[in-house]
Amino acid sequence: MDYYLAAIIAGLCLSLMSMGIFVSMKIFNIPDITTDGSYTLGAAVTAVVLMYPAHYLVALPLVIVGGAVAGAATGFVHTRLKIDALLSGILIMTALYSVNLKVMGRSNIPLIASENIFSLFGGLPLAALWTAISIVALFSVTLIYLLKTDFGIAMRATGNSLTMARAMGVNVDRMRITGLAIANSMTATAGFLMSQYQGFADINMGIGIVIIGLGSVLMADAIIKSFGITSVVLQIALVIAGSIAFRLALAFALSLGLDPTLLKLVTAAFVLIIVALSSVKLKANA
Amino acid sequence: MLELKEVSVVFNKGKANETNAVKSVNLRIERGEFVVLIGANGSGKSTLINAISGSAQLTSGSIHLNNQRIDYLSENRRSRFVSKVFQDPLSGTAPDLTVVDNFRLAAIRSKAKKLTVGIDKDFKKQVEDIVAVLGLGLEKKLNLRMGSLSGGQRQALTLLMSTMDDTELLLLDEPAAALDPKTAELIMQLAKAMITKRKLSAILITHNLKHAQTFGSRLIQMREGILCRDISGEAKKNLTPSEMVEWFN
Repeated sequence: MDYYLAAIIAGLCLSLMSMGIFVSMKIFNIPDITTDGSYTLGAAVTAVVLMYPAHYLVALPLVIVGGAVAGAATGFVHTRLKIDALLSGILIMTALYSVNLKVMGRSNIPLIASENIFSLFGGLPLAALWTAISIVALFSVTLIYLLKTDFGIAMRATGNSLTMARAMGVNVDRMRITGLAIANSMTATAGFLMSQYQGFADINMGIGIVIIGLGSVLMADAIIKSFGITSVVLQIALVIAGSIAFRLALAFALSLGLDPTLLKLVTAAFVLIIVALSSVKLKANA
Repeated sequence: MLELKEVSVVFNKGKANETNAVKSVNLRIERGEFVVLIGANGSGKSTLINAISGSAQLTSGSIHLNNQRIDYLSENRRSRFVSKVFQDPLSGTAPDLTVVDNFRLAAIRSKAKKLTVGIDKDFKKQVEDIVAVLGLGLEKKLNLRMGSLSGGQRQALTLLMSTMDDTELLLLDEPAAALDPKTAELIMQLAKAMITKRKLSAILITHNLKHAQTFGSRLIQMREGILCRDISGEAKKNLTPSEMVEWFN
């Protein structure tokens, strides 16, 4: 039971990153690769602040700002320097590897001894789960509100129909920079949570994390598309559910005796199956 | 009042495939004037409209709206007073957003996109009333994805959206070309009614000479980047489509 509980909590922590991917998919139509770097950045900043030692509430705003700067950098490279969106993300992600290493000062920081956000609910049973639920609730409600505002409608229109967004007076370049800043600050917050939950920050913890977020979003997207769901609340709920389901599926695979070194391969295969199924289905409908 | 002074648009300047799409065009359109623009393919009609809306760059010349120069403004800045309806009925709307989301964006076209929720009961009621005018029953479908509606329905909504916010100039680039005759008629009548009611300046590009005859107060023909005919008033009313066909020879 504890084993699956851990998967659910990890799924909740990572759902912040999935929501970030959801936002970047909305404005770019492609996933933002910066994710790999900004996720680790969130963890790195958290580790350094906690070991300073300072409170996790000091770390959180720094993490959010750090992620936003990383996202804005990708947005800037893409919109102002006219570099392909995918390449912009790869460039910033690569640069962030050095930044993260510089921030951490070494490749791994253990956080076992420090007080962290998962002690928020103290001695209550399932304290870690309640912490994860509260944080995810806080961020998802904020994101849902944001997407429902006039700004949010303009942001969703930017990725959906560039011609239309421009004609409606939306500054699409600024929208992309802001949107990527929001997406990556959520991703960095996922790193903030994960580093505290697993008790360490590692320079390599972000490798391939974008694929996990993408897998969750695509699972949600398949349901959104096939039922024609337009409610933003339901869409975000599905992304969170997708993130948890993804973690549970991996946990299940491991419990069947999967060699942990094959985890990334299985993850990639799993996402490939989802992508292939949804594109085959789309072609069938067309 | 819209004024174009010596407007030229050259594509691929200095290369072997250099194209002079629009050549030193001078044009003055008064408030409330409905101009129909005709001409063969490649005569520069769409480029002229794109130069006004900001999606094509001027090579030389200037564009003024109410005596203010607008040609150096970006497309999204110009959208504060210029709205455009495209030929492709799918390009004027965002398919994955709901109908009411699309209308909300149209209603704040000239304004800042703020961090406040603008879609409330009053707004929905307002959109319902506007959409009901079409008589297509779309007022009951405001929460559906725009993409689930047909091309004709979307074009009709695009047209309504174009005047949701203050606008002075309406640019229509063959808005009815991709539609069946009945829907095309609906779109054209709707455009005419909106232009008259809001006293908009409008430019309509069309290849339908019957539309060119019926609609608008002024008719302009373009050929190879210049305005070669400009007819208004009684003279335009007395034109017949067969006379216009002659112009293309």
